[in-house]
Amino acid sequence: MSDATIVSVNNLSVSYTSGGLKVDVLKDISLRLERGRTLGLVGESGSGKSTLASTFLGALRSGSFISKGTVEVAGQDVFALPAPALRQLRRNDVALVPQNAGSALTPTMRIMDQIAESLHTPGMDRAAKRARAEELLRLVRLPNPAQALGKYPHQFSGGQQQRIGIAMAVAANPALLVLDEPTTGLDVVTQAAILDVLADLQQTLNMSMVLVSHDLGVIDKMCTDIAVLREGRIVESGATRRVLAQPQHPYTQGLVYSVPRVDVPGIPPSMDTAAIDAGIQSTGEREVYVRTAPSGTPPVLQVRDLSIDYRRRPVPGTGPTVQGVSFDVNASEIVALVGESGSGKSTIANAIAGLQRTEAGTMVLAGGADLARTVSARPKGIRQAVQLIFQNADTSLNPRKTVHAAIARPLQLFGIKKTTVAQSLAEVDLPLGFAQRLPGQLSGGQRQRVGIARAIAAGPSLVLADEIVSALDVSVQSSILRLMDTMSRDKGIGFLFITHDLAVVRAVADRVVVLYLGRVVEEGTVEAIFSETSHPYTRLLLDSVIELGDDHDAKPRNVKDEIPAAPPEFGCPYASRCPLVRDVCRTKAPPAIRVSEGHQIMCHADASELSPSTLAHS
Amino acid sequence: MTTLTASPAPVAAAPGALRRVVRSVLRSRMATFGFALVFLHIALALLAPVLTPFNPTANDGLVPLENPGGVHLLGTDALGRDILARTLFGGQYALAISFSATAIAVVLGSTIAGIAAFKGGIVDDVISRFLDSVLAVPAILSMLVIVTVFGSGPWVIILAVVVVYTGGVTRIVRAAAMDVMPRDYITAAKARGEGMFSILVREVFPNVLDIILVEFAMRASWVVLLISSLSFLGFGANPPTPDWGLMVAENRNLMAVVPWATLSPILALATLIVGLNLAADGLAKSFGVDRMKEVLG
Amino acid sequence: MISLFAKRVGWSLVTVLLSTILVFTAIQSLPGDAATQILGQNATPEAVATLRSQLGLDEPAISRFFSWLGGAFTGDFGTSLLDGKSVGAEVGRALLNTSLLAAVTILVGITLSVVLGLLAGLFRDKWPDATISTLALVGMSVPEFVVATVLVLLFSIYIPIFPAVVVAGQDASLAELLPSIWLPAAALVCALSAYIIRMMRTSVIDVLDSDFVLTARLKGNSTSRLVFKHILPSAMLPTLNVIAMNIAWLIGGVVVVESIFNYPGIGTLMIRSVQTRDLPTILMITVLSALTYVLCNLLADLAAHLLNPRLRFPRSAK
Repeated sequence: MSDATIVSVNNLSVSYTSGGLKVDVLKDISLRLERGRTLGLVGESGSGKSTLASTFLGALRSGSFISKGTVEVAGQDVFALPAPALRQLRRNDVALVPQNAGSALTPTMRIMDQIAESLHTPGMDRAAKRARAEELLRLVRLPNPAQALGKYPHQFSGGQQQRIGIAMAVAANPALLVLDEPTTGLDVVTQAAILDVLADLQQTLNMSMVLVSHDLGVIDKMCTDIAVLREGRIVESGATRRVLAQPQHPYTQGLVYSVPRVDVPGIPPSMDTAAIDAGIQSTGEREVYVRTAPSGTPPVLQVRDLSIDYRRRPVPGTGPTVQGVSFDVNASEIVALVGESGSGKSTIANAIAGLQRTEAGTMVLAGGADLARTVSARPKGIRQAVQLIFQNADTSLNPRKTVHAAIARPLQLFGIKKTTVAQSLAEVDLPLGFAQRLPGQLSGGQRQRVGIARAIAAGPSLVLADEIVSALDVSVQSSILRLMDTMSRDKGIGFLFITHDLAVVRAVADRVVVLYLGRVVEEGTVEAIFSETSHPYTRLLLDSVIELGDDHDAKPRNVKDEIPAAPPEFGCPYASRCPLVRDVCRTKAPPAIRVSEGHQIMCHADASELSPSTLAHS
Repeated sequence: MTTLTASPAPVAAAPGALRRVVRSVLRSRMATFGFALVFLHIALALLAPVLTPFNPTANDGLVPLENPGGVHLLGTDALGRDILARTLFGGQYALAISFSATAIAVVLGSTIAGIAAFKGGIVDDVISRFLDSVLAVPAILSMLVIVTVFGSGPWVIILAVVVVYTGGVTRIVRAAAMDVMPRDYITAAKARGEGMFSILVREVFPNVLDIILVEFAMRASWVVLLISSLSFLGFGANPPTPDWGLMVAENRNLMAVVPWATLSPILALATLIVGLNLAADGLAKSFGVDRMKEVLG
Repeated sequence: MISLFAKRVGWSLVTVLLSTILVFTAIQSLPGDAATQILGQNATPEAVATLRSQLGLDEPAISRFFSWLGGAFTGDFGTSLLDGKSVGAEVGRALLNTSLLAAVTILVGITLSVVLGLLAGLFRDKWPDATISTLALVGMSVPEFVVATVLVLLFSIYIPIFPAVVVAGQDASLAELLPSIWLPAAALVCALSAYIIRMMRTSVIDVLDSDFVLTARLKGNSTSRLVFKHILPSAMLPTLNVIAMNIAWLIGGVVVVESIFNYPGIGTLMIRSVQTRDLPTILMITVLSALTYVLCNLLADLAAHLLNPRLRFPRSAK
């Protein structure tokens, strides 16, 4: 192994024993990473990518063992090192940024003490360590670094915790930085900001990096090299741009093709696992299914001036959680409600479902049925007409009840005679035999289908679909989106699709409502939203999306990603971050600018100012 | 089609779950041992009349203070009563009272817990506050007072146990139910407009059943302990009832003369409680329940 | 945070009051009262009535409760119905004796069980864990009266180094009591430790499995730093509640153990006063027990606040 190589994995197999059987997590992995380069490990859940990354630190999950091969980092065989030498390696040469910094920082220690642990330069006194720690926090662009040192992890937001995790990892100037899904679970804007920090750090500190991610866009932006893992094997590796632009292996092809794109409308093809297992190369291009928006269908839901307030009593300077929200959902239509965490999108869905009391405004179903009251006071017909599908298929089904029981319950409760459980299963493409299974015996995608079947069985006119594909691997996302498309067209159901993922919005939505801090900032058809004229916040969201094949260097950098904790009492909610902000924005609610038929932007600026060039956020 | 819902679908899942638990318990040597001990105790108690020809309460002035050997396998006490018979029948008394009392406390406590968790707010606050006050009085004092007020029959002991332990059960099951409450399937049921009892019975209780079962095994061991302590102090079973705590109290001053009169009830007590504890551990492990959280009642 | 604690203290006092009312009401429903108890079965109704009015038993229950409550607030818990002595003084003396026993038990018991639990957790599934866990299981499974009986058998009868019973009476001095507290304390330590050991073990194992301990390990920290800086504070948190609860439970054990060793403390007094239906004494013991219970819980909360920055610095105070 030459000095220029930082990581060298040779025929590595990792296994664990279960019920007397040896199960391989990693099979015969070999790879090499040169100093100063960045390797991306890509794969779906269960591919072994995180396991592989943790071997670079000489760590394995308890119960797992190396059944074959070696891992060399900075010239040392990590699994052959005695404990003190391994500790030395971890102190000096290789550091980890774990997936969820919130749980990876010790909750009972101050930030200062946690960073100081990694500062091993001899003769460093406390003041010097403090200065160095502060410098590190400044390097990761944490606001108020001096103050932050005295605080505890829980006092920071998820994005800030991740920055602290990075500062801690680079404190000892490691030669290799391993990042395990460093931005998963963060909002797009925060993700973009953190990736910027990482790219800069790599330049300044001249590190090598290994980045584990399921997100091909992130890998494409950050990595020079890529290794695609499937079921514990590397199926394809090489230079990132080349592999992702011209994937050779059927699995890589499937993976690349199934990712929805912000700049291409339509639902991408599902991954054909059978064909991949058979080694069949995909022919030709990525074939997307483009949905046609329904036209002239009557509204199934009309929301007007909805306000919801979580505060027990008014707090000076802040406004209600949700205020003045109005939109329609028409029959057969898929309307996307888009926003980052804390935008109030799920709160609005809960209010429509009758699970959350509202402060003001009206919500009316087709035929004039009023949704003002909470669910216990709603007549059966209304409860039947509004159905929910949930984000997390793991908790949306009662683990102790069969699929049959889950779907049969609404049929029984609402006295529906013309639909059977068998029909409902068939509608979501699940075999009849699944009826007797428990949720634990289904995959994530299958569970989500059961959740959809349960909602559709009730015969609703409106379905609230809350982040229903966010927790799924991309290879199954498409099929769920297609299902939503079919249901909306065949049954005339209006879908309110709540999501933070703009690419998915582009793939499936007909109209889009963009929320910021509980207020609508922009609304329009999907083409209008993704057009050149946007609200400054929508522009920020669009610019923050990191996609496969983008010109990453051309994107605006160093955006501000700190969302205020509560909406302001007066004016535009986005005033504190807006590049076009003027005095009136802080006092008066912005008027609606009608850009085109069915496209309006709430803003004090002129329509001409709302173009990408003037809205560059740097 | 409503007829379909009458099919045994939900029940069909149960035997599978039961089989899984049994298999997982059998995999652990300790848990198997624990269940074996408990079943052995139940069998011995049920078969007591067959296993010994002696009446546990019959005095025999001719054979006081005999040591093991001869007709009286474990000897006799100061009144000439057969130790083996008293120990075996003592098992009947201990098991019957502790299991039925625990069962009542667990059922009652779980019901209150379900309501508190579902209703939340003021209902929950009032219930919690009241239970806290009951818990603040030491169990032994509550039991002493109840026994003094109502006498010391088996029903009074059961009542006392229910008073003392329902609060603890409620706390644990409430915490577990609170954990289940925010899950999406409960939200789905609420959005369907299901009533409280329907949600509790269909959605909540099946998902806290594991905790309730572990709770039962653990509480039962505490109840056996508490009842025997009460008898030992002279407030539980009335002489000449064959009760293990009472037997220790009666015979411990004669330890040098007839050690088995004290040792056999002690061994019986300890093996039953060890069995219940190991069974609770085994259940907890196979259900994936954190048993120590259970203790925080 | 101060207002939060003021609220907790307020609720705790309500709890104590409620407990007292519960016990008062229960005792009220006793058939017969202290008067019949003192005078016995053969007393004439006239004699009983006279004694009753002397003891103030002929007033309605509610007014008696409030007059008792009023006295209790000024520190006057009334006079014993049995011997006419001041309840406060009598219970106070017993409490002092019990406190001595409890202090030794708590100090030894908690230290021992936290250390043993930590060791068991750190050496999970190895021999130290197996040994300690088995000991804890035995401690959970054997009643105090059995432990006490066995201890007496071993250390008073076979190897007579400790006295089997306390000969000194209520007014025994510290010096007189000290030699005889070791066996009762040992019996109580067994009862106290079992659950704390198990909780500590479980929570150490939980913390060992956490992401932050993994991260701290991957930072190349030494084992001692890992244990004392990263593991111990988080592992102590859930254990605190179990400690508080076990100290409150200790009262039950105290009753049994004191009665076996004839130790002149609260437990012995409790049994005597229940037997004689001496309401003022029972009520004061109830108040003291309930106070102990809420105090233990408050102390556990306070300790949790000191250990857990999440409680000290709530998220909203950014």
